[in-house]
Amino acid sequence: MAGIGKQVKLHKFVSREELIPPEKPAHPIDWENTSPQLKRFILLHLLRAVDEYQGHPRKFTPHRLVDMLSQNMGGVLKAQLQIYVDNLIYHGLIQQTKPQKLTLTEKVYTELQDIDKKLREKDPPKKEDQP
Amino acid sequence: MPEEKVKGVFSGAPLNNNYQLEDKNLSDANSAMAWLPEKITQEKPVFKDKPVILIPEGCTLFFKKHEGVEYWISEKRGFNSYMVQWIEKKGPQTSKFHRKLSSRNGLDVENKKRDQSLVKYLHNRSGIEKEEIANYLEEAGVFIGENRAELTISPIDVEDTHLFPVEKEDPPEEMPREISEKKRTQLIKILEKPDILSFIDQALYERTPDKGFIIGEVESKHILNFNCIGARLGLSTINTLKGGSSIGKTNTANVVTGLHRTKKVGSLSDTALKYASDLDQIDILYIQETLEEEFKNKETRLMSDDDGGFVAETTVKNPDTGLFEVQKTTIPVKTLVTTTTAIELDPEFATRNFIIPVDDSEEQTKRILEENFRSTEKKLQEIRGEIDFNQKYELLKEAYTLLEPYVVLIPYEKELLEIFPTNNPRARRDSKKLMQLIKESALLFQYQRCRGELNGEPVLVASWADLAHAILLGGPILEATLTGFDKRLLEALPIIYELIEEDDYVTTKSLQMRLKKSSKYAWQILNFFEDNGYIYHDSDTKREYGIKGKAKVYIKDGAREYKSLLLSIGNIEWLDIKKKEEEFIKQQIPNSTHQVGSHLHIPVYDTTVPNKVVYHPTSIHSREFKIYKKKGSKAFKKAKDDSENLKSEKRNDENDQPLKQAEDADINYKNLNLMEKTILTALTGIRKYTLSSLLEELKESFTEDEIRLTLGDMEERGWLA
Repeated sequence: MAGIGKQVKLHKFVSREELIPPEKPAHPIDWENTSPQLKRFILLHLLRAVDEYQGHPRKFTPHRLVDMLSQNMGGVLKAQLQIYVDNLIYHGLIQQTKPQKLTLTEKVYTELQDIDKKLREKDPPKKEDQP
Repeated sequence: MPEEKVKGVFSGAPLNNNYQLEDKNLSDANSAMAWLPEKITQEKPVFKDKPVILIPEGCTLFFKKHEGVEYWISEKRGFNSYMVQWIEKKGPQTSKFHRKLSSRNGLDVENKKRDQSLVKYLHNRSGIEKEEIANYLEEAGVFIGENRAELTISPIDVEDTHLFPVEKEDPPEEMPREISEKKRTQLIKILEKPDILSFIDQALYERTPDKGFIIGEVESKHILNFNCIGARLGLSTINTLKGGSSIGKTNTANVVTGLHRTKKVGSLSDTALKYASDLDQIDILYIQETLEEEFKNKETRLMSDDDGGFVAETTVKNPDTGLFEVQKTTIPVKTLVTTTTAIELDPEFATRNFIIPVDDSEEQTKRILEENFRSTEKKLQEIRGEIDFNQKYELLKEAYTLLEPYVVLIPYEKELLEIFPTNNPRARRDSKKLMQLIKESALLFQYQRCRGELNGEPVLVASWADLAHAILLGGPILEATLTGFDKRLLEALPIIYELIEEDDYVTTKSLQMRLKKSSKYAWQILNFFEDNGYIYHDSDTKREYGIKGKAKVYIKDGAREYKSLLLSIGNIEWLDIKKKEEEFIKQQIPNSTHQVGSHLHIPVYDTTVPNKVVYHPTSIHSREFKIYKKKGSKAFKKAKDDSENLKSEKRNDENDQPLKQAEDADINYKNLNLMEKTILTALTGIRKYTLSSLLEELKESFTEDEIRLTLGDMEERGWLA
């Protein structure tokens, strides 16, 4: 809306024809039961990497995503991150389209909200911390 | 199209299906309910020492004479309901002063809502004590109950005696109780939707192509709709949809006013107004097109609330003396809606007006074209019965009948002072407009706001969200009214000022680069502001900075510095406003269990949905409420000062405490900017950070000021522990 100025960048939905169907990863991980802290760490890095890559002239491939994640995470092994990226594609958090492009799905945001909720319930704020 | 005309003019289903639009221009004397014939009075029953006036299927009872005016109440039986109305008699003239109230039972059966309305109508009109009116209604009810059989004359008698003219029914005011409980629940659910603006958007869009629909025009349609709701509940305004020809002004006005009780007129002359006896039955006067010179007419101008309505003077011949006399009639204040292609409006009229610009952008044209070329597809869907196009529109129209008038209290009035420049006298009227929009938003969202009663008066507490609606939706419209700027200019001016602050001057080239538009566009914009005295070319600055060639170097003219209303949104302390609201409720309406929400739905264009607009739930903590905060070097310098708190009180570098993400933080991950993402990724990692180590870590990507500013913001929002 004009009056509001900069708005939330909406996730662009890609049409089904362009989607590359996710393949079963060579090394499946139990994403459901991964610790919420680790999930949050990976997903936040994912958000950051996608944002940083915006406007980059070269196509955003899984390989480049792994490179960026590794660099941002302080040198985590690329092979290990490749496994996570493959699994995130498989679980529908990242979408891959034909002209070698990666986009994040709504699932990333929902998952992050769920993680926050889970951690809040697990460790409710102490009374003295409250204003 | 007569069908459309009828549909668009009145809300609610008139009980009498024979009602015709053409029949409503009746003078008061033509209404049997308002007519008190004297011939039959001697033989009829008496109430309060006055004869009861019998009318077909009903009667009229005397109440009292107050300050030279007699007040009567009239009850008439309809097809399956009773209609009740107050009548006043001043000398030989009788007139009604509110819409008929319809309810399932007559005055002999108590109907709390109807009786409260009756008390209110008369109290407001005459100043008679509410208690006295309520007692009278009870007394009249008992009398009618005991004498029901005698208190009517059959229509056959009327035909025989020709005592009564055939009455043309006005549509009665729908009492909410007449709607079935199931339907009522359904309608209330609509009014309880936090994203009711989205529902309205869809209702205005999902219409058959030949009935007219609205796509886009987010601010225009919502503000017009707010003002129409205000009209229904007693807040009147003048609204002019302004723009070039064939860009959809009439369509927008038709579709929005169609949801409300509207009378369409061709012109607004003294005589036309005087003889429009149905003005009491409608809320909105819709003048289809107003020409430039017509804006100078007093009639249009004096219809504003400030002026207390318009006194029409017409010449009539006195039948007794045969001489011509001037007769004065006060036309009640009504909300006016009109459209115009005029470029300049009479300034006096413009200040009293909501000038609603119609979107003439290329994007909007594209949206409309796409829709126009889908008309066959839509028609087929309608014929096949796949989509009920008008369903949401009709539901909304009915839901509006459930809205009640309230006294709206604004807990944060004082804070609004900050928004308006005191050096502009127009701000006086514009501040009123902002208040009006806040009240109207609260009235629309009344099922979601804190409601209560103070001294028997129903009150509604406006929320911070209503202020946000008023500024976000009404801002561009108020700006257009205040300055005459269009959208492009409004967007460009803060950028020009920002460039001047950063570089001490602005040139076509620097503006072009910042706007990412053509140099001609940038030149036109700078030219406009130079012509209007907001900036001027300064040769000294050009020399000082060694700028060669023909380039004009502009600097700011301090005298004309423009303070944008929209810019102020970032300067409003939204959390303080919310706190004020909560404290106000606690103090004024102590029994209330109302919880003040922290989200509102903000519209954003989205090409993937049919109506091209989605309404995102947005938290008061989100960046959306800081987007207009000044950016650039000066803002960061200020931010550095602000962040001194962060530095000195809690996290000063000497006492460097660990930083981490608060577990109870409510973060909308969709709205994060890159720096927030970077800080959060750092804080979720294994390594523990303090302020200084974080500054060190991120110094290659961001400046220290930027990091401190963002951390300050994040802390304020409760994201950091």
